[in-house]
Amino acid sequence: MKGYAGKYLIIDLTRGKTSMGRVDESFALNYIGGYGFGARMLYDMMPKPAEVDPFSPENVLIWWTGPLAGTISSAGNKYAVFAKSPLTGIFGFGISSGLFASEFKSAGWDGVVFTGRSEKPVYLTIDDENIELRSASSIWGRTTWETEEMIKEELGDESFTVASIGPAGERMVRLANITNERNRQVGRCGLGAVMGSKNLKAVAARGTKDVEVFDIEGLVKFIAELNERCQGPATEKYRVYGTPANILVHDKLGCLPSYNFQRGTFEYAEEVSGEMMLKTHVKKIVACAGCPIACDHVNQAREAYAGTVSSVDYESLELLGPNCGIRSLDTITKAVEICDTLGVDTISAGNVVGWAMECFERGILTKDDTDGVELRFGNDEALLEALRRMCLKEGRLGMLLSEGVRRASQIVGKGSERFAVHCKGLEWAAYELRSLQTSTLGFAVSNRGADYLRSGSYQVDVKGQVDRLRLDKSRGKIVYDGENQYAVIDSLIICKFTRGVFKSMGELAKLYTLVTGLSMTGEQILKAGERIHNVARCFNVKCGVTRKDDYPPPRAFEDPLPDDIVKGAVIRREEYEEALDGYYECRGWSRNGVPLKRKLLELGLSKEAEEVGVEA
Amino acid sequence: MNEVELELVGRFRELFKRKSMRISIEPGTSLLKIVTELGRAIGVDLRSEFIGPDGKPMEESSLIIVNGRVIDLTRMGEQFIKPGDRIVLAPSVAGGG
Ligand code: SF4
Repeated sequence: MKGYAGKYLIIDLTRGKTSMGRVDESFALNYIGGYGFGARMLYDMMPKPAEVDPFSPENVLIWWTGPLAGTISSAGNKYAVFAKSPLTGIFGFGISSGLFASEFKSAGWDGVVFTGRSEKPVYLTIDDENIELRSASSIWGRTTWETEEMIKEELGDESFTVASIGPAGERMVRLANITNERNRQVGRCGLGAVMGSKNLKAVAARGTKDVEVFDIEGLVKFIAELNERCQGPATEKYRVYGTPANILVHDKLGCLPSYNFQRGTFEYAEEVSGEMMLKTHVKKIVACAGCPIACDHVNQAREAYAGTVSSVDYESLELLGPNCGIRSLDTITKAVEICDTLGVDTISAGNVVGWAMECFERGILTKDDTDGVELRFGNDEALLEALRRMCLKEGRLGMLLSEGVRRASQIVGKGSERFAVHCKGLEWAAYELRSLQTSTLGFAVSNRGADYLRSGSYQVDVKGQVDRLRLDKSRGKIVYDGENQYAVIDSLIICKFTRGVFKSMGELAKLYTLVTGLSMTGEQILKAGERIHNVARCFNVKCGVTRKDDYPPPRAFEDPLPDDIVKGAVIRREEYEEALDGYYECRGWSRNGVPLKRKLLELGLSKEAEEVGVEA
Repeated sequence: MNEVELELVGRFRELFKRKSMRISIEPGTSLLKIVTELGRAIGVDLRSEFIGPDGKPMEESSLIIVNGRVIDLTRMGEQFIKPGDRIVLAPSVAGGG
């Protein structure tokens, strides 16, 4: 089989030993790569996940590329990282782009699995077949950007790509991420903190081999066609404005979270819009390896924080901007830079600071709790100070925020849990809860927690294909279909921005076959997506997840939106229950959200059927 | 005054070279007619932003929002606009990398 390297590394950090595993054809066909490989392996390597402390050596940290990485496939150079999440306590998973996956695969490896914990800080170098754990003593404590430069200097080769953690990951801040090439992150679920707990500072990869594909002529032809489609209207918004274009559209739809999700519009939306950003702050637009779209908008701050440069996408812009009442693009650019260099997820960071601001304004948190910071909405300096302290776990405020919004609200109590906007412990991303209700269902049932990347279910809401202010049973099917498709996309792993470019699942299967030589139909690849999703759910069921965990936060049900255009919008509990039932029915799960044995057997998951599945 | 407020977002700002404008309409004018005439005024086939050659919305069709409600693009001809309505022309939403 082509496309795959056919092998992966196993690094025992406790003993400093390296070994190798094989990727065989049946594993490839059943689980594709990326998400699929990660879900399968995490399930197999952690038989009793409920008993594993995410920061203990027993947690495993798994990195996978997909079959497309390193080939000429458009927008396929991505890698995914998995572990039990210290933020959510369940299936943890994140994907990053850039050049890293391509170098990694070109070195001749599909993935790497880390077990145990190193006694001292180390980083891993993968230089084709030469694998080495090197001391990270001199780079421990450095930012992600400094780490990247120092490692390249130490290795004496600029062509290494580096994925590293910053001081937040080292300190096991539960929101810590993994950064490669300065601006690309495995953002969610606190996987950078798992690296920190293992004393693993970075992975540096360089490869010199060509990734072989099965049908190069057919692939070149198909990719040329896809690249042409990539230049069409389906991706124009990404190329010109990038995702920040969403700010004004969401504002007009009343689904732009502001002031910690208290509202669905922002009175200063124009000032932080993609349109404004392009005019005043965008310094350059860059692309991941081999991507014809190029969506990454890199900002340069002006007066207030002149010299600050950071890549600002919609989610970062929104959560660190309107959600914290911030209207200055300079401040937001600076806030993203703090998060990226010290190493935390901007989505979770903006969400937890927004929560703390609301608690401060309601008198639940006082200046004693914030070490003197006037943590009010719209206070630019307070936002930046809170982020810095959170990343460094500095003082009472820093320690509190570093726990993530669920834990922080449980620590504070006093009713603050009601304002914590998360699901399963993962902070809600920048999509309003009550004015995009199919989206809310999709977030809430997701395997990762409140996840905007696993079903695309907001699309039917924003396209007006359903009544977005109500729910009904049929929404379950929309989420189910979206999740299975996205599981394929995340296993191949291909950029979701190209999803409008592919006309059908059959085209994704065709791409897979051209690269690997393994025959695959649209139906089969979709079935693989369903299988993958179920394996991850079974892992979560073993962690204790059931129906009770598949709900949005209280604000969705209890606080009607005040904004004119969506005034009074709120989720009706009975409608949500009905939609959730509809989702479980499509999935073939019990009413309690546990996969049925017969469904698992139908998907070829006999081990899961035995260990997790329930009778109808 | 038989006027409606037209707000423009993303590429529509470039097409019209402004953020918003007020337009006069006859009561009961359809959205399809408004879109067609607006396009004619700036020399662009504006309808093709929303509807494909087969008469159906495309995967990445732009959005029309009237008073906060997203319009079903297949029924623009049956959507009648009243004076005082707020119409937004916006690109489709982008998300999830
Ligand atoms: S569309 Fe953007 S995120 Fe996706 S592969 Fe291209 S540059 Fe990377």
